[in-house]
Amino acid sequence: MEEKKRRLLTSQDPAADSAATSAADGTDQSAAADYHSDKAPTRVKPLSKVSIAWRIVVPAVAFVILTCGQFLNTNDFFPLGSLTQYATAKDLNGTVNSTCIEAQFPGEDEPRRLGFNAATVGIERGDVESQLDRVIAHPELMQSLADSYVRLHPNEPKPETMILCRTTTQLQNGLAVGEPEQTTLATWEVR
Amino acid sequence: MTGTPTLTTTPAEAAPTNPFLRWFMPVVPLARAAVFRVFIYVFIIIDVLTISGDVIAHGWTPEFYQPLWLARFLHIPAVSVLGAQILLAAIIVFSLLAAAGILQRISGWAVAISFGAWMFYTQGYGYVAHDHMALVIAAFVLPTIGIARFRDVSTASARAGWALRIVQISVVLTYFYSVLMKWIASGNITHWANGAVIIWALMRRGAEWSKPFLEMPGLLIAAQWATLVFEFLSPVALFLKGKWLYAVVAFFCLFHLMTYLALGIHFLPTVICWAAFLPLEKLVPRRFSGTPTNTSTGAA
Repeated sequence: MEEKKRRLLTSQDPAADSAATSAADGTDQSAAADYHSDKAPTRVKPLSKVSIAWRIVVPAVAFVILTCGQFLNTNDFFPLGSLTQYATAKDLNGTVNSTCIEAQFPGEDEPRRLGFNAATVGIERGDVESQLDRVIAHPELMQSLADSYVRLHPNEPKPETMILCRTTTQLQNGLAVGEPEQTTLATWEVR
Repeated sequence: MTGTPTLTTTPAEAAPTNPFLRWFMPVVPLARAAVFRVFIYVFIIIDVLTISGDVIAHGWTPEFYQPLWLARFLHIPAVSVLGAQILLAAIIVFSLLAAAGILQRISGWAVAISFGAWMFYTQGYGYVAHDHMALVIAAFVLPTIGIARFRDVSTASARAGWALRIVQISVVLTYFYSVLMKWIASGNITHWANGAVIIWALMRRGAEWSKPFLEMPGLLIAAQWATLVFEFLSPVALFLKGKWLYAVVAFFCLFHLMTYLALGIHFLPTVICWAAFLPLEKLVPRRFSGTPTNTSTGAA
């Protein structure tokens, strides 16, 4: 009971506790004696040399890949790629860009802003932003966004035009200045 | 010779003997791994249905598929809607089996492979989120433990200790290496800390209640410095015990709660892996756990 109370207070693993005891004693005999004593009612599953070896080598290789992923600044090695989310510095006097998607529907005067997410157009904003140059160069890629919208909204009218846009907010000492400006990056007549 | 006590004293089968290996492969109760396994496999079901639930929608946008290196190496094609639905069903069934401890090795590896494929399809469309690193690694190391049951409270295992340690290291590296990446991406770490990253994030996806903070750039810069400091110090968690460890785990969970409320960024796949630092075997009801008097050693 006292032993259990002490373990709870120190939050030590029972097995680690016995390991520490054996390390302190410094002999296998004492370790075995501890193990079979009332104070260490644990069973320890042994590891073979092969088990130990691969458990060292595999993480070491993974660690090297992860480290290379950082210095090469690549996500290609996922799940061991670079940890780039929010890693790029932003200028307090720079601009904040946000990509948007709009659709022109039949009978409506103005294009309507759509949610830029998988539930609305089949893909998240971040995915498109990560290949923005490709989408601008190949606006036909927006056809699949229109198709996804139609599949996900069967009771809504089919869009006539998809518009990839960007809002830009100017910062001055970290504070927004004026209203965001919107620019059109690409348009696509929906087939 | 010092060493971890084992059922056998045969040197070839003895558990790790040097200090590093005793830290890297600590013997922990198998019940801890059994409980952690439930956390992970149940969360994987939640993850594929919500957080990484965009895979089925990706079936409609195959033109945006940008396969990652391993997916290219294995010639994994873009996912179809039907393929995504089958994969989703497989992950849920295998995860339920693995969480319940049924066919533990087979179901565990089945989850690892199917969830790994799912990750290629959620991360392979341009944007790669790094909050899944520890979770994916957990899915692959858990099956290496072998059989682990809730009643194994008194049965210690270096296999379980290694698997949990790998998850712990993955969690810590998620933070520590993000500092390294900030340094590399920004050229000078002070440019990141004194910059407008949180302002940028709040403007792009901030909750309405957090918008007033945009009027206080000084406070947001202080938050960036604080983030840098605790991300840099995160490896300390690997060496803490007791209430200090609990405090660190609670601190990081609260941090992620704040970023979720402010920005909608929850980092839950990493948050769940913080459980690897905790003595989860204490969650096992006494009637389900093997008491010392019930162990095969008959120690008590």
